[in-house]
Amino acid sequence: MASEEAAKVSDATLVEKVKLGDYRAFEELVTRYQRRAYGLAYRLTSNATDAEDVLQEVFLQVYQKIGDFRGESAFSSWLYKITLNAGYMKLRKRQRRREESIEDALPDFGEDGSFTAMVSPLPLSPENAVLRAEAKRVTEEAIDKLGEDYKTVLILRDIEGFSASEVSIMLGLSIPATKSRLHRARLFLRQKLENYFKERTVRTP
Amino acid sequence: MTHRWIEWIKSKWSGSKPDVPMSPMITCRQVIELLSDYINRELSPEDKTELDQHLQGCQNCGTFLYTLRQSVDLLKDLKEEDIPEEVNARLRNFLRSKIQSEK
Repeated sequence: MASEEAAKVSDATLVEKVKLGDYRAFEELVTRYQRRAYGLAYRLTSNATDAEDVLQEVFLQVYQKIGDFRGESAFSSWLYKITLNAGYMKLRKRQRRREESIEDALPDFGEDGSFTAMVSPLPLSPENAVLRAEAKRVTEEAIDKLGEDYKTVLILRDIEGFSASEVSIMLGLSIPATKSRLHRARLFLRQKLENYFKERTVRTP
Repeated sequence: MTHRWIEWIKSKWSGSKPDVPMSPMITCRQVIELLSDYINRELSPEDKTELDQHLQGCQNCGTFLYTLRQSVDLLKDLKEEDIPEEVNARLRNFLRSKIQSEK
């Protein structure tokens, strides 16, 4: 299959061809999804070497298990599920766990339910590339510190752009549970950013 | 119906039920819980009106909402991690050798 011709073929057709042993069709699927699988693996593991291992494992499994894929969901959702599982395996094997409790990074409220401290703005403007780069780093570190349950929902919803119902199906969670995890994870990230820039202001007045 | 009103008023006065959903006295703590739904445009019109009223008079919640939006936007910037060329090449080699050895 020439690559131009292959680009017009649907995922479902490629899957059928792979089932019949067409290696070129498999390579086309790899071309289509390697970037997304790598991106997800990288976000899950926060580490380039681990992400590469996961990527290799994922596509090997895709080839080996393609016979089990019945086409009831999109190929992409099936691939995401395999990537999530491979990513979790990697995370669990890894010794260093830097997970932080999500509750520790939530704001404090007084008895009347109002904030006990002033909420500080984040000094982020599109023009200030230095601050944006720092914010990106803090964001990546915060994701790394999230527990697996929260991290996965945050990545799938806010980075990969899946809907709440897609994520709930993918993870076998209720929609309220998906929403609640997303909200907690966002609060965690926001707090990490606020803390970072508050301290930065103290360091460099 | 009357019974529910009495319960509601009691809970307001005693302060024993901070989780009463939306009330005219919505607190910052309650507002924060709704902000993801607010950003995702998933709030009911009634809840949204209450929240907007609180936000107009509360600087902390306003800043909190703005910074939460900024945080979510930063996540969007992380999409599409580039796959290094050598990672791609190693992937192809790995798959070819593994799959051929299985045949």
